[in-house]
Amino acid sequence: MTTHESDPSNRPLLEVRDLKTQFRTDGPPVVASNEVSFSLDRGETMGLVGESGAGKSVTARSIMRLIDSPGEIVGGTVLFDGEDLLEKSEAEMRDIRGNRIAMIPQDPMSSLNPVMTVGEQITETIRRHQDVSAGEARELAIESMDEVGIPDAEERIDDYPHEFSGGMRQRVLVAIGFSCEPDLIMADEPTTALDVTTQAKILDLLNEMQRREGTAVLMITHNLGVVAQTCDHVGVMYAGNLVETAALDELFDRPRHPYTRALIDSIPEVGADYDELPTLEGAMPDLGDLPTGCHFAPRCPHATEVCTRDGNPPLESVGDSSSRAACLHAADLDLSEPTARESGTGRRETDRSGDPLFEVHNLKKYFSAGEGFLGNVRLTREDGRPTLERRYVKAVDDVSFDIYPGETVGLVGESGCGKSTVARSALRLLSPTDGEVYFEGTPLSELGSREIRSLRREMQMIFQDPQSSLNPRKTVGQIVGRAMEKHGIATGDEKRVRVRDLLERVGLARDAASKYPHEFSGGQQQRVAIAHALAVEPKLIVCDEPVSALDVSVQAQILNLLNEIQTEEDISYLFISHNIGVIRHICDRVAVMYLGKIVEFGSIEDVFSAPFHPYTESLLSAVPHANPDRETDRILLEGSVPSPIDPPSGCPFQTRCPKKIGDVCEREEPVLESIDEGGHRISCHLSTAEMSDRASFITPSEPPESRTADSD
Amino acid sequence: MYNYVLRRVGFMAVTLFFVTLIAFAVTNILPGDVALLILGPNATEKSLAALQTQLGLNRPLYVQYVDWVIGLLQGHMGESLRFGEPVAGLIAERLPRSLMLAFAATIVAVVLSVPLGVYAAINQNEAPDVTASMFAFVGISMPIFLWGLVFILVFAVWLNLFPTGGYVSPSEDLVGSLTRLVLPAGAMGFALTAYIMRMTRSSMLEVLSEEYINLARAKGMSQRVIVLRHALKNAIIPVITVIAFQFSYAFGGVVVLEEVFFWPGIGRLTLTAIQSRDIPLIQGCIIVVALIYMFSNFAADMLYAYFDPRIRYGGNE
Amino acid sequence: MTVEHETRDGRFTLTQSQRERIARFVRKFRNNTKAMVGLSLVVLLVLVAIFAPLIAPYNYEETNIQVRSQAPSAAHLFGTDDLGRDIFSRVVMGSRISLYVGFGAISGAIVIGAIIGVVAGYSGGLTDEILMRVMDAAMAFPPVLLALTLLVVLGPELSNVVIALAFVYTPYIARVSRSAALAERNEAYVEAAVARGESDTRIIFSEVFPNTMAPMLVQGSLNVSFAILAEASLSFLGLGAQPPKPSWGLMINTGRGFMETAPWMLLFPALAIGIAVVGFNMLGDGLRDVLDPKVEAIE
Repeated sequence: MTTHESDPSNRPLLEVRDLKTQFRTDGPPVVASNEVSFSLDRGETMGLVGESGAGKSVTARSIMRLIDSPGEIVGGTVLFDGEDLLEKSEAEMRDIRGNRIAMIPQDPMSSLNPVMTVGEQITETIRRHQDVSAGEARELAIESMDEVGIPDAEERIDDYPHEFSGGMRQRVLVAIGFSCEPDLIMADEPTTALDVTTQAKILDLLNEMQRREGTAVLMITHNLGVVAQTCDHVGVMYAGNLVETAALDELFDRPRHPYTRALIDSIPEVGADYDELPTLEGAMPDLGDLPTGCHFAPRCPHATEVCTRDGNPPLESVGDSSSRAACLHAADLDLSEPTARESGTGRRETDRSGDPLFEVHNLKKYFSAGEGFLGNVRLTREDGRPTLERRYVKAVDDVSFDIYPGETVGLVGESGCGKSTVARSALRLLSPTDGEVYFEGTPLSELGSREIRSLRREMQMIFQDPQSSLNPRKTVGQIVGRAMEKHGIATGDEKRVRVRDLLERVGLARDAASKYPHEFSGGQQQRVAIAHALAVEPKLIVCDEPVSALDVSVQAQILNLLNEIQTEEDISYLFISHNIGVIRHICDRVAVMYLGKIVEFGSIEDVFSAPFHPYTESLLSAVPHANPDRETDRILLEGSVPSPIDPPSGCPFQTRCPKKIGDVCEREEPVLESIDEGGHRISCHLSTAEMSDRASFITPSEPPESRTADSD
Repeated sequence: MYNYVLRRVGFMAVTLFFVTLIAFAVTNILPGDVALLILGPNATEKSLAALQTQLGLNRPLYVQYVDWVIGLLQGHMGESLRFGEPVAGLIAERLPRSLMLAFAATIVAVVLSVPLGVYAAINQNEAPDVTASMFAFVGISMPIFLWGLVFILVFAVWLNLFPTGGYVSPSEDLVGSLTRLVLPAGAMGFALTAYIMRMTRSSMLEVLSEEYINLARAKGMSQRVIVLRHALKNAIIPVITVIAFQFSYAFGGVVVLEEVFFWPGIGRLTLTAIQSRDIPLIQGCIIVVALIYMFSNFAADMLYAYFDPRIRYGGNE
Repeated sequence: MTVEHETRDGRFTLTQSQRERIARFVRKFRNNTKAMVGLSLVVLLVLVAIFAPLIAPYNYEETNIQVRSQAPSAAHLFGTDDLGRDIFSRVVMGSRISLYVGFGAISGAIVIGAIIGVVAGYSGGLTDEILMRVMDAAMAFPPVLLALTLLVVLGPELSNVVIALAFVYTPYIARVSRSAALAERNEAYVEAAVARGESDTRIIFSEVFPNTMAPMLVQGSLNVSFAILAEASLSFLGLGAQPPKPSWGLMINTGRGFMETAPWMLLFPALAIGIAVVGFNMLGDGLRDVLDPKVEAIE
């Protein structure tokens, strides 16, 4: 899409040519951005997509000349409105930054200076680039806060960042970005740190602001769903190279680079039926350890000998389309169909005729709302007199569910809903405040600590951050072997053999046993964690966001592995996640949680179809689908999640519910009750009919051969 | 914020309790006989016994402890065995002089080390950083008394700029008082500089690597603005704690420094007490010193709360 | 080629991974100038202390009124003191005292402090609060002052100095090990150990402890220099080593009276202290740099 018109109005706003950024190391320099070329017109949104370590952030920062030693930009040109940014002096760049090119960074928590008010941080930008008085700047700041949807801007302008919720802080960052009406905005993963529902609102906000101001946006993300909702055209990066650029529809209809195809394939979709996810072997190579030839060749299902030889393929137009791909075979490949999926057997039916393996009844877990011994004691006024009271965070407030042998029950909800706490309390890693947990019929509260420790053999856990769940000073073999030793399963030589067998089972090499955790990638570390959990032959494994910290292509591998193991060993899973697509893919039944309570519980079909609890409905509608054709009308919720220290009266969702009836919602807390014989339970005052505005979020299951576009 | 204060006060109370316990315990496991010490080796059994009863030394330990604490709360610290005067009075006379010294030393240290620390952090690993760090290093590598001696040698003996020691009350002779303060405060301040500078430097470095500094750069702010407006405000918070700690360290250092400069403060008093095994005086001195440390820490906590808006306006959990 | 890490043919062998790990640490250490300089100074000091009787040309106690207060010369490298004793010999022998006190006191402090800190950090709750209040209370007394008071009780002798200083520095080590334990406690692998069914004691010693060694080593190394300074101060005040022991602090005390006429009596012991302190400080600082995992994020 590069035009060489000399007429400025037709000129692309941003033209990046052969940008190369590298980092000095003890050895040869690591190239993070390898001769990247693309262009962006005024008012357009371009997505820069890739997994972590692909080089997208570095590229963006290089454009803004924000690369510090040991990094340096060693080649290329960056034409912004006709002028080469790489030639400018630092002082000139400072005038451009924040003014004509602005950034909206990723983490709202750490990107705002905690000791400066929000207003100060906005006005500082304005006053830096515009010749206005302090009073005028303040007015402008209030205006921009209004525009991004921050209520009561005039009062809140003097508040500090920690007094805002995450979503609000992100809006402040958006306000700062747009405050000087820039021509180009670099949005660096602007919604990654946010909950799904908040993310939906911020994306809408960005779309609106962009339309209003006519700003061009470079949207950096790893989430294809976000791309599908916001971008006009897309660039895909892999291991430092830009491997494909295409218009949005083209990208999804007919990707030209095998990596793009694989990326699209590995996303577990909310609407898709269960099936094994097509996966890529291995992981993206480390930038310091790149293969010769095409960087993607080792993992590419279409690679041939010539691919591994001649250096990186150049990014060129393919045929007569406007897409460009860096693949030697691009012209010959037709990648418009998803890679054939393998099993196609669908989910196994769980046998629920016997007794449940694991039961949770009325579980409660309250935490003290403060640090230390006296931390939660607060001085409050009650009837005019000061009293001391203890305040609690009601993380889990009366939760009940059961799990049958061989099934996967999911807990889904946004951050702070209590799902992690439920898992930990149920496993007795935390002691519950109230309620009872039964394992194979035995109540856990009646067991002594020694008995609980031996029961641990049956209930294992896999954690979110694979790096921190493995002791960095022990070898993998020691970690996995220790579990076996502890429960008397095997010792000595037999143990060593078993450990190696287990490591092989989870997809690692046998000699992995003598290596340390940090020598493995994130996906491999998670495999070690799975091996560790399996070592004691448990009946139940609690998976706490096990794939959230992993790249999408690796995520698919791990999910497939978990499914395989479940089929073979008949293990039950309690699967916790905030990612609806993943839940859809791996769970049999699911509980939706909000503010410490379960608001809906049932099989996947039931929960994803009418009738819906209003929260479930808005949650499912907020997920950005990796399918640009699909318009979901999203239900956006007002406000943000209330504090679990002071939950709302009556139904916890009533403060934000778009279908609130009236007083009854504020007074009476609804009960989780069945609405049909199939065990589908919802806790809401609405009638079944009122809960069924929409039919379903899933498409009926089809045989894998005939797959048509998803429709709602 | 009030809850923060309340909690801090609560903690301080508990610590205070342990402080009195330690102060009492340390001086009461004395081998040897206090009574014998006072009356000399020729005392008779009877007079020894009488003195012991009079001093209450044959009551159970916890009774002695409680008595002592009650006395403390009322401001009585017993009578000095060596001086024959009330301990409280002796301390009250000397304490302000030591405080003066410690304050002056801390001011010298802060004025030197904070800018130095900031400067070093901005120019990390380059010449200014290395020189500043070395300078600080030298400061902590010698015992304080040695710096005192060196300063005396250089400035008082060789250059004859300042007197070699002694003390004059500011109310009598302000100028004379201040000139006598320069050397000891300078020596002590120099020794303190190292810690404060290093803390400032590392705090600054940590702050400079935070995300919001990146955003400030992305907004086009100049380096100067970033350092002064964005970074310093954040970096100074932990430094405050260190300054308070250094103040108490200064107070500990006075023991030796006062000896070198013939400064009649509480340090010299404690030393005399220790050399004469004057139990009540020892107890009084160390309790007072410990209390000053605790209060300066408390003050630091309060300042911390004031400067960190997360604590001051806290509570949006 | 990997070798299992246990005895094979009766010899203890390391796995490839462990070897690589050690090699990496050594390389990093070697690249760090501060650590290397510090280590060299410390090694120098230790060697001097070990071979002191061989290095010292004269007996440190031997007085010789004829040659008293002489400036440094070929016969007496550092000159002589007011009683005619050779200062060089005394300084060299004094290194034994400083190292004895330094290592002795801090080893004691590490043993006690580490246990207190890790137990407090791992247990949390009331145990943690109480233990930390006690530590805070102990730290409310300036180190030298507290040591002085303890010495009154114990008696002014060198071995008591070691005991007193061990007590005095325990809280500092406890603090560091507590915060290290706290940091580790929040790591998922501790939770994993609990989920595995490990008992608390086992977790503390087997999982948490080894990961807290690094910060404690750093703190310990820095504290050795404090201990050396403290010993010097105590001896300077007359309550540490007693004459005729060649404690550097004591030598400075004596030298003080002759500051103007025979400054060498002061100068050399002072330099010795300086070198020892700088050495340990640099080593501690350097170790901290080397052991700190520096995350080099490229994205």
